[in-house]
Amino acid sequence: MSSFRILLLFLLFFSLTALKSQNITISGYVREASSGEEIINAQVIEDNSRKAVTTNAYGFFSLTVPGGRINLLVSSGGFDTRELGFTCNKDTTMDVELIKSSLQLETVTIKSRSKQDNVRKIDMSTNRLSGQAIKKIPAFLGEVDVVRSIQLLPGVSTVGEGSSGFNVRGGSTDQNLILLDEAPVFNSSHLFGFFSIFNPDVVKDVQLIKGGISANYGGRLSSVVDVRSKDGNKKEVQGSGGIGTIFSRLNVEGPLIKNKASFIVAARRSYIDVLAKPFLLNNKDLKDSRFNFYDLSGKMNFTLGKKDRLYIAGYKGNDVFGAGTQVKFIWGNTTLSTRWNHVYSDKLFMNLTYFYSKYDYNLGFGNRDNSFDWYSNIFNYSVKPEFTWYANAKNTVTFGGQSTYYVFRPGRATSKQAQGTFNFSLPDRYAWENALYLSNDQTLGKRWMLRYGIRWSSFDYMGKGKAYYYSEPLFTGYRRTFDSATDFARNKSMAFYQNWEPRLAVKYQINSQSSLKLSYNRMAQYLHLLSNTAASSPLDVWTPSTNNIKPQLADQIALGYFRNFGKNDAIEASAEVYYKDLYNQVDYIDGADLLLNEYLEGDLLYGTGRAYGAEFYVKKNSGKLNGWISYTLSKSERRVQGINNNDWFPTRFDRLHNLYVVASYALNKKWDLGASFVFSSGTPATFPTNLYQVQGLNIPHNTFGARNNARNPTYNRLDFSATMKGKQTEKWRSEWVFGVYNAYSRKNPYSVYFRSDPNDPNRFQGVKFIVVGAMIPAVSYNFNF
Amino acid sequence: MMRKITTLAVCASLLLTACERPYDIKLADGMPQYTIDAFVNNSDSIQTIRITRSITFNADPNTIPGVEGAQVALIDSTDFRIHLFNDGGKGNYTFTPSRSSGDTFRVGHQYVLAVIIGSDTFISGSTMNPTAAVDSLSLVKEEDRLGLKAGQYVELNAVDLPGRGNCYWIKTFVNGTLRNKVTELNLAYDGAFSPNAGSDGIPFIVPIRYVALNDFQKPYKSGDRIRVEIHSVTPETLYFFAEVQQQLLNAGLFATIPANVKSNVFNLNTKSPVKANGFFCMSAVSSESIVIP
Repeated sequence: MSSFRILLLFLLFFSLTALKSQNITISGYVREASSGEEIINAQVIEDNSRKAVTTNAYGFFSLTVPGGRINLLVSSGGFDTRELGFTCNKDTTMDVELIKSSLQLETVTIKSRSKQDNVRKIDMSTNRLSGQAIKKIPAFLGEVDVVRSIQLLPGVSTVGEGSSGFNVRGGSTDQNLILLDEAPVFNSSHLFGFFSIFNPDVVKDVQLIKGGISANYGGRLSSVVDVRSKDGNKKEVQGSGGIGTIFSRLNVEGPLIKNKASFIVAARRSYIDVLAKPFLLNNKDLKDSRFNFYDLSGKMNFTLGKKDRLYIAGYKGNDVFGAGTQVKFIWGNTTLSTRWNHVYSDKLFMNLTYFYSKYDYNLGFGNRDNSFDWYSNIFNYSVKPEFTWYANAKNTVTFGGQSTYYVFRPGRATSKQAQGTFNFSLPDRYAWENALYLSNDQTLGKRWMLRYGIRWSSFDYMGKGKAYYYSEPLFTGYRRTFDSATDFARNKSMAFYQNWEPRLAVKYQINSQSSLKLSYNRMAQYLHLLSNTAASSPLDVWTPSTNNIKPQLADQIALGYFRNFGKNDAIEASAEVYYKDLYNQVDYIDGADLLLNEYLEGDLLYGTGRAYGAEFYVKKNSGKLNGWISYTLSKSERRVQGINNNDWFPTRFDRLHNLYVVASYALNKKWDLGASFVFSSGTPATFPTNLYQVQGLNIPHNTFGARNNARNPTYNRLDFSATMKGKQTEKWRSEWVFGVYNAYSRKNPYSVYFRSDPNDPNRFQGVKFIVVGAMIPAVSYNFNF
Repeated sequence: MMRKITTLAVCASLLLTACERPYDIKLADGMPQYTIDAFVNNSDSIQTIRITRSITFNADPNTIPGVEGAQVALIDSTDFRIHLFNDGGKGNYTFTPSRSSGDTFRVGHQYVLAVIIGSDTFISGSTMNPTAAVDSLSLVKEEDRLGLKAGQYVELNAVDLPGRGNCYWIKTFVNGTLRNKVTELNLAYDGAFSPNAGSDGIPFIVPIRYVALNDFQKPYKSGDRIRVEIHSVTPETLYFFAEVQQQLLNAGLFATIPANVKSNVFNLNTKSPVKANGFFCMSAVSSESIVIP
């Protein structure tokens, strides 16, 4: 009996240890061989067990596979795949370096992600662009741009040139969470939306997530744009830059301590006002116009031992626009962030981010004696810990949280007149936003993958400040007049909101070339961008949720079919449908006054929205001709009590058809050609039906009380570019880029409005306002050293 | 003012390719609605309330039809007097004030406007607030400078009444003709542009007392008779004109969404689809004239 027991125990022990020694964990970083730059989303596959994982945003991976003979395939778009075969029976850390594909220099590839990503990974409604891919898309005025590239992807649209935001799946421009190295950005554009604040030389990876958003992201309803910048060449000093018609840029990166620490500094400055000066000299109102913007960013990173990395980054950008000496707008972003990566074990990775960001805008007009200046700022202070636990071969658990403290300074104004100087300001507002999340990516058998997670978020609108109360108006849709205000002491809660945000994604692998995916997410948004204008402008007001303004919520489900074709998955294709319900959408009474208005909450109305559509996407990744075609059919509408007779009406950015075609062709060793074509249905507009007269003034009127009852004309545009390689030596590589924007000079109307007919001031005349009405050629010279 | 300058700034386009083009567009026709234009003041001249119908947007405003056969009355709800208006034809309803019989409008009283057209009754309310006195009009001689031609201009000397919330509409008449373009509307809140200025009891600020009274490209000629009237208005009237300016000057990149100007005249039967546009305001007037030498 006892010996039998001993045998049993022995067998048990043996089988346990045998079980334990079955699986081993291989972890480490994947880097670029030439610079030591970590590669995001590189694929690491263990060929024998067919287990795969992709590197995270810091280039880290952890893969648990059966011990014994290991065959690792490490690959990433634009790099030669590396194959590593070895025997291993215990947990190992290893760093893998990939060499840039030499083919890259000759054939143009827009393909930027690991093959089969779109079919194999559980992510849906996601598009990824690398810095390289962005550079191949024909640019506006010769300057490639991250946000303009995103606007060519399915599900994304804008209301036209001049709008500083973009719309994703029927969501307004404030519903996009735009992150630059983990820090959110309030206004992602310069110059009214023509250029984004992201310097393309410094961008490493951009991911656009439109649906199936995982639990680690939150705070905005419609999308996530996760932008990662380069860390800096750890091996040698290198740089790049360009001189263009609109602005010039220079970036320099290099090691601080070879292979252990590096830096990158980038600057960009525009000088269109200098170029325009000779044309404006004769116009006495405009001759002292200023228009320029600049971006400055700097980053340092340090490898501290085997387990720790430290990153310190800063960004400052500013736009100055002044028409003559009479009017000026200045706005800008400043961010500072510190990130610490710590590898607790080969299975537990942590990133801890601290950041500070400041967004400010200033509007001023008048001259020295008679002037008006208005300043407004938003400050954020935040800490964000994130953990990834590569639990076992089938489960990867992520968890973490975020805590952000906001200070809103909606307006400090100074009015200088002959009578004296008047100072007045709107009270500051304070809020504290928190979130915790837990999520698991699980593989079930060979075909199923599941991602399920929950995010809990909260928002506390606090004092020191006033809570305003308004009385109900005579009719819904009229201004709510101010009734009373209550003072709250510092840190006392004026309104507290919390939400549970479940996230779910499911993938069914039909075969190695196709899959079916389904996702559901609920998102909560506590900050709102109030804008009564047709275009988003720097004067738009960001406001926290208050005792009157509730958080916005959205539920989205999406279903997609993903299929690759051809040898080596040369062609990727997908078809996705989505449906989104939106709640507590902020809208405005007719004639709302949002500027410097202490009682602006009285001008707000709330309603529900719905957006639905189908997106079709075909992308060719290899060969001489690369590119994609994207077609989106979409509808986006709202219903608000007090507007449009309480009926559903289209949102400002509702566009039924959106067709984008992007192509690039590697003509020969010296020339690359590119083209893009955009076609979109017209945006909605509100047109009058009647006219009446009061005190001699002719006033337009819409008898139906309708909003967005009509459509602006359609938008279409063709762009070309041609890149010619210049000198290519060890030390200096250069190219010339020639481009034409709006090649057939279409006068796409931005909006239509009505004003007095200059020939007969008593009559009204319809007018199309066009922002870009001509063909715009541009040249730029880019270099690398 | 902020909107005017913002529009100007935007029209000074950055890219030099932005432009405006006439756009012939067929607009949907809406049902005509009543317009009740009732600005009544306490001067000795004949007071007119105009009732018209709206026309389609593209039609000639000179063809706006008057509504005849309505019954119009102003009821002084402070001392229960009824002032009836006579149907003068073509949509004009008139009232002749008479000091001798005491049939006049009084400062500080609250008035209710009642208009009966067919089976619909429209009402509105307004208080006649006190107005600031015109202390004097002065002549200003200017030399040529940026944006201004040399010549004679007029300046208003007047002080806002003490107490917050005094609103005024300042009208400038040149040889009997009112400067009436939407860009020439001259409105004041406590002597400045809006409640945000926090002003009270101050002399009217320069843009209101001087800039808005003149066209700096056309100085006044010798013999021109300039009359300036200060009408007291209710704060709602200021919002009304702000909305009108907003709709008529809405242009450019930052154009706001067009919206109907709200009226303070309501159909007594709130469920009726028959609505009225227009506005009712009682004003006290002070005035002064000057002849350019």
